[in-house]
Amino acid sequence: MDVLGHVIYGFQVIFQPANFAYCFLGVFIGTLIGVLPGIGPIGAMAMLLPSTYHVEPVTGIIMLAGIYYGAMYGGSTTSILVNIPGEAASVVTCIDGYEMAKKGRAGPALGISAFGSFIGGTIGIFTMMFVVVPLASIALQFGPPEYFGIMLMGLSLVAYLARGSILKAVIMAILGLLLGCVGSDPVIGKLRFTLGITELNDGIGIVPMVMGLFGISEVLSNVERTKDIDILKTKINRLFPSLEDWRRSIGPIIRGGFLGFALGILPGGGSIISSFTSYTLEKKISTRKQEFGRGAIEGVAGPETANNAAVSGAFVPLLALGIPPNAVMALLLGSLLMHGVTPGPLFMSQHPDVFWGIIASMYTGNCMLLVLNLPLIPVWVRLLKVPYRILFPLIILFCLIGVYTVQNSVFDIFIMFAFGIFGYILKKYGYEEAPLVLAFVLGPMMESAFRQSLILADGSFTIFFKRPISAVAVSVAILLFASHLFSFLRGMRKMVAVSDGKD
Amino acid sequence: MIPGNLFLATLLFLSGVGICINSWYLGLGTFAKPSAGFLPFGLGVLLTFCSLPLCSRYFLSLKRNELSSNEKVWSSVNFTKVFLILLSLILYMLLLVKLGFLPTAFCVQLMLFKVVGTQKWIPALLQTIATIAVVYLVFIILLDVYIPLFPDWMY
Repeated sequence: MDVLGHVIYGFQVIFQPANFAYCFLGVFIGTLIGVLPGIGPIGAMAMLLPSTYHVEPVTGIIMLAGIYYGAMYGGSTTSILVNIPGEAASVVTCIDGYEMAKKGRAGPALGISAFGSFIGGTIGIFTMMFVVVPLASIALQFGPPEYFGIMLMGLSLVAYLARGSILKAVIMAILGLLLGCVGSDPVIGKLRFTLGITELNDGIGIVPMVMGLFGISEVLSNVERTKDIDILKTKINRLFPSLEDWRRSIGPIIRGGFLGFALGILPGGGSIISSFTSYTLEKKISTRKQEFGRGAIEGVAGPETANNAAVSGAFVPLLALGIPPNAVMALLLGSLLMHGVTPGPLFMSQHPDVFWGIIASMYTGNCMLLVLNLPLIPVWVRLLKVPYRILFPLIILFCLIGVYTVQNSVFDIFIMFAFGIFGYILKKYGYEEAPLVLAFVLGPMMESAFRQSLILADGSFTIFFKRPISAVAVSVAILLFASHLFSFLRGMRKMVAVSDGKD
Repeated sequence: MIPGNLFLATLLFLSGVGICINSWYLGLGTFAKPSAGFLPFGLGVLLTFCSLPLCSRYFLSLKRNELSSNEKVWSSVNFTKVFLILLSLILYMLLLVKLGFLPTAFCVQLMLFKVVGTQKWIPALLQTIATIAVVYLVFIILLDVYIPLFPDWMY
């Protein structure tokens, strides 16, 4: 069957009533999550993960994927109207989006953001289709050293591209790998770090961990907020951008689409980096540089397109190699595995319904989002007025149900509780949770690949440098780590010198 | 008092050492046949190695009296609210199975709305009922998930 035939098959899957309904539910919840500050797509996906157990794997995954790309659409609404990004990827939209709203151009800003997101999503999905298939066939030749190398490089990039201290991100990744070691050893089955607790024999569950780190800790951080959100009092009219707006935006939209997709594939790149890069690029090449930061529509169109295209890009390594490039994809991988579906080179042939169903659902979901986001903007704006003191008990209850219903285990609530406190403290001291979650999911796979490689090579580490792909990947990881370590040590030396001078 | 970030970095350092010791007892195996403790041991060494520079940096900052600004992270925290939210989770852990979801959620949500959300009784009550109704509708009716609604003896 050619690509077109597969796409048609995918549409047959998505147009089954249950799949269509779950796709709508996913994008709707995603938009809602994107609009409401205080909970991100990863928390929402974790919360709703147990609800997918009763449906077919493809149906559940379609909904979870919908939450992810739906949140990217929703995030821009708060950035433009409130100057608070609903999503980290929409931070950059605040700069010009809010300025446009202040000038009475909230309508075109919201409109171009929705159209840009739609076009970005579509570019991403088309490109993804033509990249995933050949990549998956190349990946069939990968062995444990290649997989280990790619995962190691992915983790290093995630740490390197962290928003705060790289060293702290590296520590988080190491902690994630160690947490992934809890439970039985993947090769010989020996129990490790279970502290005699039988519930830990199968390891720490990803749902309670993610819910604690991204749900409860977020509530604990946000509950400090005393002021409710101030929504800009402006009339939202003319959602359809004018011809002049389109003329100025079309270039940034197309560039943002391809740039976002390419950066989305990179581990740790994702939506945040792509939206920032698109903004920087547009500012650099624009003939109206002085307008950036004062309400330039290009500053909304480019980043919003890029962050949506990046979502499709992030699916490439997950679907073709079975390696998640970011924490959200790590959760999606976890949910696929829970459903007995293993993504990777054989994914397309073993589960064509899930593979092509996801791709077709992204087309359909993007169309749904366009319909949801344009006429329903007043509804989303009204939702923004819901005070946090009403939202947070609801979030806690959703987290609780989400966690408990995974295995009907109170111990899982305890895990969520513990990770909630842990995540809250980490946030306070500038440690990022994303590398921890990604490493946690990659941990068991990395360990198996690492140990298998060593067994294959009879204990020689040179196996990682004998094969070209693993050699490049491992070298990149080592270089990234070493470069940061040297700059950190240089900084320390300066500090010691200053300290000695003081003494 | 030890500043929080120094304490956290030291804790990470000590955890790294502890993991190395624990992994040693799990058995490291050989390079050709790595055992269960092999990778955790390596990760423990890395954790120790990476947290050491952080400890040194914070220790140096402490020596130069620069850590006071870092401690401002806790200045805006309303510890009562944080404690009550954590207490609500503890209550769920203790009561969910014994009392069932509906009575437990009613008590805990009411506490959250009334005390943490500082609402008046009537709005707090209405919001509690609405919240539970939404959750019931979404999870139990629409998504068909299982959760014990009432205590066992009621069935």
